[in-house]
Amino acid sequence: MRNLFATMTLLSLSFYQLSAQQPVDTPRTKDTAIYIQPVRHYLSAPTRVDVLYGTQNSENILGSVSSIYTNQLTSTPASLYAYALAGRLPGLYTQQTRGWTSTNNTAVTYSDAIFGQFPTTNTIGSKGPTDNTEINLLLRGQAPVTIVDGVQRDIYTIDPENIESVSVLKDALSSILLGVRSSRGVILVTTKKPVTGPTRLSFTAQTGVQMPLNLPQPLPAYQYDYLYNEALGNQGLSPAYTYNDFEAYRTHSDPYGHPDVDWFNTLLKKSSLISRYSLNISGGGGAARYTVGLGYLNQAGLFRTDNSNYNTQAQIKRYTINTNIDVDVNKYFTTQLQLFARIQDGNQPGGYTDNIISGMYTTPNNAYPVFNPDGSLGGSQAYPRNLYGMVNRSGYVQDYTRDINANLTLKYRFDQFVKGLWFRAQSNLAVYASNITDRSATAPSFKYSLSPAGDTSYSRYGSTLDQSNTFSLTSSAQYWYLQTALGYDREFGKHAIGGKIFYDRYESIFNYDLPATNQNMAATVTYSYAKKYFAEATVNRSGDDRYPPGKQFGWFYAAGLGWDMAKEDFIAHNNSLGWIDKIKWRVTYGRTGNDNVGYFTWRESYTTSGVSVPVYQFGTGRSSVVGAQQNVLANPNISWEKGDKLNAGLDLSLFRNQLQFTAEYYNNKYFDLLQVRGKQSTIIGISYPLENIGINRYTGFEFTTTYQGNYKSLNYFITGNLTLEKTKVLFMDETQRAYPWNKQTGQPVGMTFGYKVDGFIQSQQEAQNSAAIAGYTLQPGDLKYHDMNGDGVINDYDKVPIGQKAPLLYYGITAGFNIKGFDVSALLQGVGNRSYIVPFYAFGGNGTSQAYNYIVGRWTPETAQTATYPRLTPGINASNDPYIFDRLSTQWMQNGNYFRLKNVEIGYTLPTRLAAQMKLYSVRFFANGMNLFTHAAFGRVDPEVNTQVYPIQRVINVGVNVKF
Amino acid sequence: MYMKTYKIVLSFAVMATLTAASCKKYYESVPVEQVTPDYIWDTQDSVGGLANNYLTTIYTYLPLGFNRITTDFLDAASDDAISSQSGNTDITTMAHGGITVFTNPDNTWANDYAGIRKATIFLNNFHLVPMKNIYERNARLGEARALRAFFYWELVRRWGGVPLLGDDVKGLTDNIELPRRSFESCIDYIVSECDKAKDSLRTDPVDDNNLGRWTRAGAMALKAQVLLFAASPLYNGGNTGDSLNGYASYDPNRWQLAAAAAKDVMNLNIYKLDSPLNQIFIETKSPEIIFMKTQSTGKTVELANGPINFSAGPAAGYTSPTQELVDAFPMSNGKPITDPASGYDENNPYTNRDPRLTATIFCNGAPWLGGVVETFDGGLSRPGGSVVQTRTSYYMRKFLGQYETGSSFQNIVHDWSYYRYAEVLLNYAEAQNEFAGPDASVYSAVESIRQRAGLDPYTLDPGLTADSMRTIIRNERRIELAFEEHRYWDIRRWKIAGSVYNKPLHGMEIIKNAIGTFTYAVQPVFTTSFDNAKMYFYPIPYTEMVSNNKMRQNPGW
Repeated sequence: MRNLFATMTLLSLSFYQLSAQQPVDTPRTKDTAIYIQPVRHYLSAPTRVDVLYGTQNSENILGSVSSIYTNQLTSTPASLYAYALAGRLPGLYTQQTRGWTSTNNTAVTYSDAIFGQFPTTNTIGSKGPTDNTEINLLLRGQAPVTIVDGVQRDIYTIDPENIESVSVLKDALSSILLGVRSSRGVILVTTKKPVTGPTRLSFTAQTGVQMPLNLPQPLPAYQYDYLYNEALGNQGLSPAYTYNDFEAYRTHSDPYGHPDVDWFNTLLKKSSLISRYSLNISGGGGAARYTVGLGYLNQAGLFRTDNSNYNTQAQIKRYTINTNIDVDVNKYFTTQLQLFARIQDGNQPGGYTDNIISGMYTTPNNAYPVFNPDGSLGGSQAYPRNLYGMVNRSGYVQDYTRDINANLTLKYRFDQFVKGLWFRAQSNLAVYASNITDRSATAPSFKYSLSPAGDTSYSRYGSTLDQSNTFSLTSSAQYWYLQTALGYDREFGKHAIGGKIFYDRYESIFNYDLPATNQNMAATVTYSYAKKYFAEATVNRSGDDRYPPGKQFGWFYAAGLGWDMAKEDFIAHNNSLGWIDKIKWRVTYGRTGNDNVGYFTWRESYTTSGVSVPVYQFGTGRSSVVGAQQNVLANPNISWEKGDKLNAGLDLSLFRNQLQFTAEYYNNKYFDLLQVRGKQSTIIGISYPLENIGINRYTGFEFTTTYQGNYKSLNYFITGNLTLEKTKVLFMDETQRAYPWNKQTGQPVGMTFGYKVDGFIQSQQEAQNSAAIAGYTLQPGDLKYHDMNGDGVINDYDKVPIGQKAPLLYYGITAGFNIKGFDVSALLQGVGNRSYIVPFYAFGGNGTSQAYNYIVGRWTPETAQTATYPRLTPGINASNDPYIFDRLSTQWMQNGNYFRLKNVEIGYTLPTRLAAQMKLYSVRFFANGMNLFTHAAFGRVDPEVNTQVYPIQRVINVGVNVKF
Repeated sequence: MYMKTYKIVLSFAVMATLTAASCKKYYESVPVEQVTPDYIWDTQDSVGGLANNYLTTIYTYLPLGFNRITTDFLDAASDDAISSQSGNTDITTMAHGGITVFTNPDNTWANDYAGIRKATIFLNNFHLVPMKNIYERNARLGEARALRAFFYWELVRRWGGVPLLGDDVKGLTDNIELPRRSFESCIDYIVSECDKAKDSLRTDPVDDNNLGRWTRAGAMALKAQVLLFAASPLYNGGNTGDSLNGYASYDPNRWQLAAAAAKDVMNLNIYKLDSPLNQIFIETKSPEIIFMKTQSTGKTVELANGPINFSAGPAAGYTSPTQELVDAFPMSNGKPITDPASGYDENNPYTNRDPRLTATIFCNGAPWLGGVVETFDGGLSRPGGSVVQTRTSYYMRKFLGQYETGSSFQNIVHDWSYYRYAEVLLNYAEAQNEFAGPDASVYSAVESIRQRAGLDPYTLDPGLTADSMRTIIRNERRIELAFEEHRYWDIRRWKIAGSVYNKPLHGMEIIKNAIGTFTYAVQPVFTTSFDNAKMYFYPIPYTEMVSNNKMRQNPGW
């Protein structure tokens, strides 16, 4: 008995050590007080893992589930926990798309409820607003459903210190209780739950420096004007700048008449700060336990601001509170109450952050001086809004987001009546609202000119708008969730039997919409024998009331089998194989659904009001008469998209679990995908709706290996995951394609089509003999497109797949060690077999925009052999320009492979004895960083954030954690 | 123990009750505010409110000619103007002969069929609405019918014969693979629809409240234009011989039909020439305009086309009229500038010209916004550098408000005129001249236009041959109707596009001398391209070809 107690203590000790930063509860014996120095373990491997709506013993898991825990989340200094997911979870592909949150600046109006509007790729399956506008998450190629503490909510701003675990559920069986929403997989976030023990306080303070990465390099004004003249000359047009202009730009002798302003240096600082504080309190005893987490984040933007009246800096301040209270009413009845609240206050310049950033990308250095000689803002007809003015003299815009989430869970065990029978009910109520206070203004700009006689004159461009003060609701959502489950779990000898009947109802109201209601009625049975053989099956009758009446519910099902070979006698009882702890084979298969029906698209309906309604003016007063417009044919047969998902896996655990290996294979066929039919003649006079047409297949392998070891007091680990993901369009009702290379069917999903480039046209003769786009006369220096069908003309028939065909590959390797209070970890994350279009073109849209230093490599007769860029032309070139005329080509398709030193953390924990002298439980100092080093196959732009948006940032962060 | 259990059971019961209570329906199962067809065709509504809104929607499918091709006027793809933008714009694609089955900036196919569908739905369902006012009820049916005819005409003049749907409205499961109908059937259909619409439409002049709606004269003017085209060389026996693209053989009577249709409009004696020319496009209700796209007041036309760099009215100057168009304007004495007796001075090219030149084009020195338009090299509106600016030293003046002395743009009327009385007169003169030769009625029609323009003398030499009269009428059409989407189609229906295109277009290079005088030099600025073999008709769009096995492509494409 005593032995058993010791073992249990050890077990719980190791559990706590491994699970989180949660300190080891110091064991007290009657006789002596001993100090145990807590050893910080970066990786955790708890015996119970979080699954959808509950936890499960890890040995019972049949599906594909991967998890990370608090330590892996807190080491990433960022505003969203989603930043910490990159490279850590096999099967989860992440791409950062912007470096700063995108604020919703538009007021909600009734017209937002556009009937018949189908979801876009961004809103697909969404039931409301999301706070993640920065990281694109794809779980086995699908945008996953995020479930926070048992309820679907797109919340990514939870304080990482407050999160117990983040898991991804990738296969059909793991997500089947979502029924009609189960196809896309799940990101499961579980916040910290109360643990019995004395009251503990944990306080963390940290501050980081954020530095933008890969800002573009604009051309200095003299190079710009030289190259612009060259571009004009290439078109046979006369030059726009004289030699005197060139000299004035080069020597900066005339800063007002010939300005040369690097907007990035002028408007952006080299770095900005991010600070975070969090306080976690937990404690409680037998009958009641609690945790309280308080978080504060203050993230500053990069703008150089100098307005003394008010703050125009882009800024986010966020306050979060998460409390959990568990009360055991009696030994059968437990209740859990959770309250989560979030307040976020944002600020941005009145010129709007996004507009300023894109303005910096498009405004040439010589567009206008920041200030005129008289101190007024510079500008011109083409650039009436001075960028500096947009940052500093245009007022400010504040946004507020408020969020409350209340969760009540009751669980009753009927063990006194039927052993193993239990009932659980969960209810969640959540409200969300975001508002904006717009106090923006418009500052006029002036064009300064000096006449030959020496008279200065200023002409005003841009209107003066006084500071406005409008307050509007930008988004609102309400959610109500109810779940009940009656279950039975019991072991009879070696037989473990379980079962559950389950009902849930999820109702969401987004802005003006009618509530959308999802319901699931499911039954699950589980069986295992001697922890050797496992079986599980679930049937779910699930529906969504946005579908046509009578077509709202469907059947979804999944089943799985498992076999732990290591438990078989021939291994378990074989001494020479004692180093084998686990060889578990498992497989799941299921039919899943994806409800992306949109808003009552099955009804024939007409827009009669709002912004998208057509308006016409009749009468001498030209008074507006609104129209009544049917935008798209109704599809009365619309149904959810379906998936048939197979997952097979192998778990190996060797050498007393020191070495662990997991391999997964999946083969998911998604069908009835919503697409527009191929034969869509416009003679019908209206757009065809989305119909259940497409079939795609996603297959892949995922591998995870972990080795943990120790040498004396050195503990070390290395874990790596690697994912291979292959997609294929099996059917998409293409219109007849003239040539096999035009076909999208058979290609990877979302393949980019474009022209194949055979270098540059090198001579006039070659120009005459090469195939050209109709109406375009080729000249030396133009891109030479490959005439696939040999008809002498370049057109859509010559478009071929130009993106990467090989399976997408992505990986992450985390390694670390700890010794004598020091702990170190590092994450290397990378992507392979990726390609993307870099959509920059010289002199931009109408031929007056900014140009960057890479166009120095343009084609000229002298550099014909080394040119990297076509000959320069002003404005849009009908042949070379990649995107205005849909002329994507291999010239602009770049290798997207990269790897990053994504995250490094170094920590030092004071010896417990020292901490105790300060009456502290533990003290840890740490420093961590994000995006410390990047190697990209194409290095000119960041491989992730490569559009004209707020840049990706490197963050160096230091902090201290104190526990009382 | 049991007490406790009961309590727990009770609390679950309470929770269940609450759940059940919350299941009571607070919301309708489908949004009642959603407008479904039974709202539109309301069988209780004696004024036809939503049905009228539905009709309004069809009007929104009418094209708005101002800068219609992305940022440019359609006529910037003729020999009258070029785009000011030095890069490639949609209109330069067209002027370069870059229209293909995949790319066509003037592809109105889908828009026109969308209008046709809605018009047919209106015609088929409007009877459900118990309108009490029969005159109004008939007028609305007439409007829908005229709109449908208009959209078919938009298709036919671009592609030749197209599929005619009649009164069919196709649904999701219907087969819509329909063959093209012959050019002749399409013209017959449009003309008969115009006649049918005419009888039920409002009489002219229309009351102030219904200005902008189709009237009888509108349907008649549409018919006159359609018949004029049908009689023109491109279609009247002069095409490739394909019945999709014209008549099999020439028939002079087609000119007579066209003349008669134009004469019918003239005989109404309601519309007349209005002056000054600049005013009719910005007038609230001009007695000259027969049918137009009425718009809310605004200043977008000025902002898009006015000369650049006026800080009182910073405009984009998108349209650069060509030297060819400027040269087409005669002197104010009515003589062409090529006539040695005209008094034209190459060193002072803009004085004593047809007043329509000033009304249509900004030349160097023209007054604007209290200042002067400077289009000499380095001048205010031709400063050099990378900003979009005129490439010919001219900007388009027509359609803009009277801001010669203004200080800023105001919101004013900018309607797009489809049919105005001057065009009807020119339609008549052309058709009558072709059918009967230059008789007195032809003289009278042309001279009335020259008179209104302010030419002195406005009379034409007596005794002109039909050929010389044709030259004069064609030039009058060009300058009188410049930028109104006529030139682009006229050079096609006259079958002269091959010689009008395929050569350089010119602009003026103006150097300001030290003493304030100007030196003028004509420079080539742009070369157009046209393939006689196929470009008189647009290619059927690729998506239509592959969606419809019965669709036949135009010759040469």
